[in-house]
Amino acid sequence: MHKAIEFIGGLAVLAALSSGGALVAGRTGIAVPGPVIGMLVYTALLLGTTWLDWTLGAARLVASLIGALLVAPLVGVALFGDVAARGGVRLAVLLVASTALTALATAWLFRAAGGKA
Amino acid sequence: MTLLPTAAVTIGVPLLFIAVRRATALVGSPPYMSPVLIAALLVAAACWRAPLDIAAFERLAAPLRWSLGPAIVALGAVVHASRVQLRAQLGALLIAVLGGTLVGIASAVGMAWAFGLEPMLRDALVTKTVTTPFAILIQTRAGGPVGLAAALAVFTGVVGAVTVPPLLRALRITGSAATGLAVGVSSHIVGTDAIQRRDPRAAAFAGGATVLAGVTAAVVVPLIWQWLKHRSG
Repeated sequence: MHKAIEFIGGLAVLAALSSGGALVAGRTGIAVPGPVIGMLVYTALLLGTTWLDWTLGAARLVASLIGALLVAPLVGVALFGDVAARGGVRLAVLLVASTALTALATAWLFRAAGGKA
Repeated sequence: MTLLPTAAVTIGVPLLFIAVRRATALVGSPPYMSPVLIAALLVAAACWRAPLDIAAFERLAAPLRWSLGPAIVALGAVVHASRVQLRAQLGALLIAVLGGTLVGIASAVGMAWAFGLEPMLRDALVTKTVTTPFAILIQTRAGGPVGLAAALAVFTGVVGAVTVPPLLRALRITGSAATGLAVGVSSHIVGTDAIQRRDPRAAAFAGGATVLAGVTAAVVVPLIWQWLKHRSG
Protein backbone atom coordinates (compact mmCIF):
# COMPACT_ATOMS: atom_id res chain seq x y z
CA MET A 1 0.00 0.00 0.00
CA HIS A 2 2.83 2.35 0.96
CA LYS A 3 4.63 1.56 -2.31
CA ALA A 4 1.48 2.30 -4.32
CA ILE A 5 1.03 5.69 -2.64
CA GLU A 6 4.73 6.47 -3.20
CA PHE A 7 4.36 5.51 -6.88
CA ILE A 8 1.26 7.68 -7.40
CA GLY A 9 2.99 10.53 -5.55
CA GLY A 10 6.01 10.11 -7.85
CA LEU A 11 3.79 10.36 -10.93
CA ALA A 12 2.17 13.48 -9.47
CA VAL A 13 5.61 15.08 -8.98
CA LEU A 14 6.57 14.31 -12.60
CA ALA A 15 3.27 15.77 -13.86
CA ALA A 16 3.66 18.85 -11.65
CA LEU A 17 7.21 19.48 -12.91
CA SER A 18 6.07 19.06 -16.53
CA SER A 19 3.15 21.46 -16.05
CA GLY A 20 5.33 23.85 -14.06
CA GLY A 21 7.90 23.87 -16.86
CA ALA A 22 5.18 24.57 -19.42
CA LEU A 23 3.92 27.42 -17.24
CA VAL A 24 7.41 28.93 -16.99
CA ALA A 25 7.94 28.56 -20.76
CA GLY A 26 4.57 30.18 -21.45
CA ARG A 27 5.02 33.08 -19.02
CA THR A 28 8.61 33.90 -19.94
CA GLY A 29 8.39 33.19 -23.67
CA ILE A 30 11.42 30.86 -23.51
CA ALA A 31 11.44 28.75 -26.68
CA VAL A 32 12.52 25.60 -24.82
CA PRO A 33 9.65 23.07 -24.43
CA GLY A 34 8.16 23.17 -20.90
CA PRO A 35 8.74 19.51 -20.00
CA VAL A 36 12.46 19.95 -20.81
CA ILE A 37 12.58 22.77 -18.24
CA GLY A 38 10.81 20.43 -15.80
CA MET A 39 13.36 17.70 -16.57
CA LEU A 40 16.30 20.04 -15.92
CA VAL A 41 14.81 21.06 -12.55
CA TYR A 42 14.14 17.40 -11.67
CA THR A 43 17.69 16.37 -12.65
CA ALA A 44 19.19 19.24 -10.64
CA LEU A 45 17.14 18.25 -7.57
CA LEU A 46 18.12 14.57 -7.94
CA LEU A 47 21.82 15.37 -8.32
CA GLY A 48 21.98 18.13 -5.70
CA THR A 49 19.63 16.88 -2.97
CA THR A 50 17.93 13.72 -1.70
CA TRP A 51 14.45 15.33 -1.53
CA LEU A 52 13.03 13.49 -4.52
CA ASP A 53 14.89 10.18 -4.28
CA TRP A 54 11.59 8.54 -3.29
CA THR A 55 10.22 9.36 -6.79
CA LEU A 56 12.99 7.42 -8.59
CA GLY A 57 11.00 4.16 -8.71
CA ALA A 58 8.10 5.81 -10.53
CA ALA A 59 10.44 7.81 -12.79
CA ARG A 60 12.45 4.72 -13.82
CA LEU A 61 9.28 2.80 -14.67
CA VAL A 62 7.86 5.71 -16.70
CA ALA A 63 11.20 6.20 -18.50
CA SER A 64 11.34 2.47 -19.35
CA LEU A 65 7.84 2.68 -20.90
CA ILE A 66 8.38 5.94 -22.77
CA GLY A 67 8.23 4.03 -26.07
CA ALA A 68 4.52 3.38 -25.47
CA LEU A 69 3.90 7.13 -25.58
CA LEU A 70 5.75 7.52 -28.90
CA VAL A 71 3.49 5.17 -30.84
CA ALA A 72 0.56 7.59 -31.23
CA PRO A 73 2.62 10.54 -32.61
CA LEU A 74 4.49 8.14 -34.90
CA VAL A 75 1.21 6.94 -36.44
CA GLY A 76 1.00 10.45 -37.91
CA VAL A 77 3.80 9.48 -40.33
CA ALA A 78 1.08 7.81 -42.42
CA LEU A 79 0.05 11.36 -43.40
CA PHE A 80 3.55 11.96 -44.81
CA GLY A 81 4.30 8.63 -46.49
CA ASP A 82 4.43 10.19 -49.97
CA VAL A 83 6.78 12.98 -48.77
CA ALA A 84 9.24 10.43 -47.33
CA ALA A 85 8.96 8.25 -50.44
CA ARG A 86 9.86 11.22 -52.68
CA GLY A 87 13.05 11.64 -50.61
CA GLY A 88 14.04 8.10 -51.68
CA VAL A 89 17.73 7.29 -52.02
CA ARG A 90 18.80 10.86 -51.17
CA LEU A 91 17.03 10.59 -47.79
CA ALA A 92 18.56 7.16 -47.11
CA VAL A 93 22.08 8.42 -47.93
CA LEU A 94 21.53 11.47 -45.71
CA LEU A 95 20.39 9.36 -42.73
CA VAL A 96 23.40 7.03 -42.94
CA ALA A 97 26.02 9.73 -43.65
CA SER A 98 24.75 12.25 -41.09
CA THR A 99 24.47 9.56 -38.37
CA ALA A 100 28.04 8.34 -39.03
CA LEU A 101 29.35 11.91 -39.05
CA THR A 102 27.58 12.68 -35.75
CA ALA A 103 29.02 9.57 -34.07
CA LEU A 104 32.58 10.22 -35.28
CA ALA A 105 32.45 13.92 -34.33
CA THR A 106 31.23 13.03 -30.82
CA ALA A 107 33.95 10.41 -30.26
CA TRP A 108 36.67 12.65 -31.71
CA LEU A 109 35.61 15.69 -29.62
CA PHE A 110 35.57 13.55 -26.46
CA ARG A 111 39.15 12.42 -27.08
CA ALA A 112 40.31 15.88 -28.16
CA ALA A 113 38.87 17.35 -24.92
CA GLY A 114 40.95 14.89 -22.88
CA GLY A 115 38.30 12.27 -22.22
CA LYS A 116 39.53 8.84 -21.15
CA ALA A 117 38.09 5.60 -22.57
CA MET B 1 -19.44 10.55 -26.50
CA THR B 2 -15.70 10.18 -27.30
CA LEU B 3 -14.84 9.05 -23.76
CA LEU B 4 -14.95 5.35 -24.55
CA PRO B 5 -12.84 5.50 -27.77
CA THR B 6 -10.37 7.83 -26.02
CA ALA B 7 -10.07 5.38 -23.11
CA ALA B 8 -9.64 2.49 -25.56
CA VAL B 9 -6.78 4.28 -27.37
CA THR B 10 -5.17 5.50 -24.11
CA ILE B 11 -5.08 1.99 -22.66
CA GLY B 12 -4.88 -0.07 -25.87
CA VAL B 13 -1.88 1.61 -27.53
CA PRO B 14 0.51 1.17 -24.55
CA LEU B 15 -0.66 -2.45 -24.15
CA LEU B 16 0.00 -3.07 -27.84
CA PHE B 17 3.49 -1.55 -27.47
CA ILE B 18 4.27 -3.81 -24.49
CA ALA B 19 3.03 -6.87 -26.42
CA VAL B 20 5.17 -5.97 -29.45
CA ARG B 21 8.22 -5.33 -27.23
CA ARG B 22 7.81 -8.76 -25.62
CA ALA B 23 7.41 -10.38 -29.03
CA THR B 24 10.60 -8.73 -30.38
CA ALA B 25 12.44 -9.76 -27.18
CA LEU B 26 11.71 -13.38 -28.08
CA VAL B 27 13.94 -12.96 -31.17
CA GLY B 28 16.68 -11.08 -29.27
CA SER B 29 15.40 -7.47 -29.75
CA PRO B 30 17.43 -6.75 -32.92
CA PRO B 31 17.80 -2.95 -33.45
CA TYR B 32 16.07 -3.07 -36.84
CA MET B 33 12.89 -4.39 -35.14
CA SER B 34 11.88 -1.22 -33.31
CA PRO B 35 8.81 -1.97 -31.14
CA VAL B 36 7.70 1.67 -31.45
CA LEU B 37 7.79 1.51 -35.25
CA ILE B 38 6.07 -1.89 -35.46
CA ALA B 39 3.33 -0.85 -33.02
CA ALA B 40 2.77 2.40 -34.97
CA LEU B 41 2.47 0.48 -38.25
CA LEU B 42 -0.06 -1.89 -36.64
CA VAL B 43 -2.11 1.06 -35.33
CA ALA B 44 -1.97 2.81 -38.74
CA ALA B 45 -3.15 -0.43 -40.39
CA ALA B 46 -5.98 -0.73 -37.83
CA CYS B 47 -7.02 2.89 -38.52
CA TRP B 48 -7.05 2.17 -42.26
CA ARG B 49 -9.07 -1.02 -41.70
CA ALA B 50 -11.56 0.62 -39.25
CA PRO B 51 -11.79 3.09 -41.17
CA LEU B 52 -10.64 5.93 -38.91
CA ASP B 53 -8.66 8.83 -40.33
CA ILE B 54 -5.30 9.57 -38.71
CA ALA B 55 -6.36 13.07 -37.61
CA ALA B 56 -9.32 11.57 -35.69
CA PHE B 57 -6.99 8.99 -34.12
CA GLU B 58 -4.59 11.74 -33.04
CA ARG B 59 -7.48 13.55 -31.29
CA LEU B 60 -8.36 10.34 -29.42
CA ALA B 61 -4.69 9.95 -28.45
CA ALA B 62 -4.52 13.40 -26.79
CA PRO B 63 -4.06 11.94 -23.24
CA LEU B 64 -1.08 9.88 -24.49
CA ARG B 65 0.42 12.97 -26.09
CA TRP B 66 0.01 14.88 -22.80
CA SER B 67 1.66 12.03 -20.87
CA LEU B 68 4.82 12.53 -22.90
CA GLY B 69 5.54 15.67 -20.80
CA PRO B 70 5.84 13.86 -17.44
CA ALA B 71 7.72 11.04 -19.22
CA ILE B 72 10.32 13.55 -20.47
CA VAL B 73 10.73 14.79 -16.88
CA ALA B 74 11.25 11.14 -15.83
CA LEU B 75 14.33 10.96 -18.08
CA GLY B 76 16.09 12.89 -15.29
CA ALA B 77 16.29 9.46 -13.61
CA VAL B 78 18.42 8.23 -16.55
CA VAL B 79 20.93 11.03 -15.99
CA HIS B 80 20.83 10.28 -12.23
CA ALA B 81 21.58 6.59 -12.91
CA SER B 82 24.63 7.56 -15.03
CA ARG B 83 25.85 10.27 -12.63
CA VAL B 84 29.05 8.49 -11.53
CA GLN B 85 30.24 8.03 -15.14
CA LEU B 86 29.08 11.49 -16.21
CA ARG B 87 30.66 13.38 -13.28
CA ALA B 88 34.04 11.68 -13.70
CA GLN B 89 34.68 13.39 -17.06
CA LEU B 90 32.07 16.13 -17.13
CA GLY B 91 34.03 18.72 -19.14
CA ALA B 92 35.07 16.43 -22.00
CA LEU B 93 31.64 14.85 -22.00
CA LEU B 94 29.76 18.14 -22.33
CA ILE B 95 32.06 19.30 -25.16
CA ALA B 96 31.52 15.97 -26.98
CA VAL B 97 27.71 15.93 -26.57
CA LEU B 98 27.24 19.61 -27.42
CA GLY B 99 29.59 19.46 -30.42
CA GLY B 100 28.24 16.10 -31.63
CA THR B 101 24.63 17.31 -31.45
CA LEU B 102 25.47 20.48 -33.37
CA VAL B 103 27.30 18.43 -36.03
CA GLY B 104 24.23 16.18 -36.22
CA ILE B 105 21.83 19.08 -36.75
CA ALA B 106 24.15 20.94 -39.16
CA SER B 107 24.97 17.84 -41.25
CA ALA B 108 21.29 16.85 -41.56
CA VAL B 109 20.15 20.37 -42.50
CA GLY B 110 23.14 20.94 -44.79
CA MET B 111 22.74 17.65 -46.66
CA ALA B 112 18.97 18.18 -46.97
CA TRP B 113 19.74 21.49 -48.69
CA ALA B 114 22.50 20.04 -50.84
CA PHE B 115 20.30 17.10 -51.93
CA GLY B 116 17.40 19.44 -52.79
CA LEU B 117 14.91 17.75 -50.44
CA GLU B 118 11.51 19.41 -50.12
CA PRO B 119 10.86 21.90 -47.27
CA MET B 120 8.71 19.56 -45.16
CA LEU B 121 11.46 16.91 -45.13
CA ARG B 122 14.05 19.56 -44.32
CA ASP B 123 11.94 20.71 -41.34
CA ALA B 124 11.53 17.14 -40.10
CA LEU B 125 15.27 16.41 -40.45
CA VAL B 126 16.22 19.26 -38.09
CA THR B 127 15.37 16.97 -35.14
CA LYS B 128 16.55 13.64 -36.60
CA THR B 129 19.62 13.70 -34.40
CA VAL B 130 17.68 13.68 -31.10
CA THR B 131 15.70 10.95 -29.41
CA THR B 132 12.05 10.62 -30.48
CA PRO B 133 10.32 12.10 -27.38
CA PHE B 134 12.44 15.25 -27.66
CA ALA B 135 11.89 15.36 -31.45
CA ILE B 136 8.11 15.22 -30.93
CA LEU B 137 8.22 17.88 -28.24
CA ILE B 138 10.44 20.24 -30.26
CA GLN B 139 8.44 19.80 -33.49
CA THR B 140 5.11 20.24 -31.68
CA ARG B 141 6.33 23.47 -30.13
CA ALA B 142 7.75 24.72 -33.46
CA GLY B 143 4.71 23.66 -35.51
CA GLY B 144 6.72 21.19 -37.60
CA PRO B 145 5.66 17.83 -39.16
CA VAL B 146 5.54 15.81 -35.91
CA GLY B 147 4.75 12.33 -37.33
CA LEU B 148 7.41 12.57 -40.05
CA ALA B 149 10.01 13.90 -37.61
CA ALA B 150 9.21 11.11 -35.13
CA ALA B 151 9.63 8.49 -37.86
CA LEU B 152 12.95 9.97 -39.03
CA ALA B 153 14.24 10.01 -35.42
CA VAL B 154 13.33 6.32 -35.04
CA PHE B 155 14.91 5.42 -38.41
CA THR B 156 18.05 7.35 -37.42
CA GLY B 157 18.21 5.33 -34.19
CA VAL B 158 17.88 2.06 -36.11
CA VAL B 159 20.48 3.09 -38.74
CA GLY B 160 22.90 4.18 -35.98
CA ALA B 161 22.38 1.06 -33.86
CA VAL B 162 23.25 -1.13 -36.85
CA THR B 163 26.13 0.91 -38.38
CA VAL B 164 27.84 2.99 -35.65
CA PRO B 165 29.36 0.24 -33.40
CA PRO B 166 31.07 -1.57 -36.35
CA LEU B 167 32.21 1.79 -37.77
CA LEU B 168 33.81 2.74 -34.44
CA ARG B 169 35.49 -0.66 -34.15
CA ALA B 170 36.84 -0.36 -37.71
CA LEU B 171 38.36 3.01 -36.77
CA ARG B 172 39.75 1.51 -33.52
CA ILE B 173 37.59 3.69 -31.28
CA THR B 174 36.93 1.03 -28.64
CA GLY B 175 36.71 2.70 -25.20
CA SER B 176 33.37 2.41 -23.38
CA ALA B 177 33.08 6.16 -22.79
CA ALA B 178 33.79 7.29 -26.36
CA THR B 179 31.68 4.46 -27.82
CA GLY B 180 28.78 5.13 -25.45
CA LEU B 181 28.77 8.88 -26.10
CA ALA B 182 28.99 8.41 -29.89
CA VAL B 183 26.12 5.89 -29.86
CA GLY B 184 23.99 7.99 -27.46
CA VAL B 185 24.28 11.21 -29.46
CA SER B 186 23.93 9.63 -32.91
CA SER B 187 21.54 6.73 -32.27
CA HIS B 188 19.55 7.75 -29.16
CA ILE B 189 17.42 5.27 -27.23
CA VAL B 190 17.49 2.58 -29.96
CA GLY B 191 21.31 2.60 -30.01
CA THR B 192 21.53 2.71 -26.22
CA ASP B 193 19.23 -0.28 -25.95
CA ALA B 194 21.30 -2.22 -28.51
CA ILE B 195 24.65 -1.47 -26.85
CA GLN B 196 23.27 -2.35 -23.39
CA ARG B 197 23.55 -6.06 -24.14
CA ARG B 198 27.25 -5.88 -25.15
CA ASP B 199 28.73 -3.16 -22.91
CA PRO B 200 26.66 -1.95 -19.90
CA ARG B 201 29.31 0.69 -19.01
CA ALA B 202 29.06 2.19 -22.52
CA ALA B 203 25.25 2.09 -22.18
CA ALA B 204 25.43 4.25 -19.02
CA PHE B 205 27.31 6.91 -21.02
CA ALA B 206 24.93 6.46 -23.97
CA GLY B 207 21.82 6.94 -21.78
CA GLY B 208 23.12 10.16 -20.27
CA ALA B 209 24.31 11.42 -23.69
CA THR B 210 20.90 10.69 -25.24
CA VAL B 211 19.16 12.95 -22.72
CA LEU B 212 21.83 15.69 -22.83
CA ALA B 213 21.71 15.74 -26.66
CA GLY B 214 17.92 16.11 -26.46
CA VAL B 215 18.25 19.05 -24.06
CA THR B 216 20.88 20.66 -26.34
CA ALA B 217 18.58 20.35 -29.36
CA ALA B 218 15.57 21.60 -27.35
CA VAL B 219 17.54 24.79 -26.65
CA VAL B 220 19.23 25.19 -30.06
CA VAL B 221 16.50 24.17 -32.55
CA PRO B 222 13.88 26.78 -31.51
CA LEU B 223 16.61 29.46 -31.83
CA ILE B 224 17.51 28.47 -35.40
CA TRP B 225 14.00 27.40 -36.50
CA GLN B 226 12.87 30.82 -37.69
CA TRP B 227 16.16 31.34 -39.51
CA LEU B 228 15.74 27.99 -41.27
CA LYS B 229 12.12 28.76 -42.17
CA HIS B 230 13.22 32.12 -43.55
CA ARG B 231 15.87 30.39 -45.68
CA SER B 232 13.24 27.88 -46.86
CA GLY B 233 10.71 30.56 -47.68
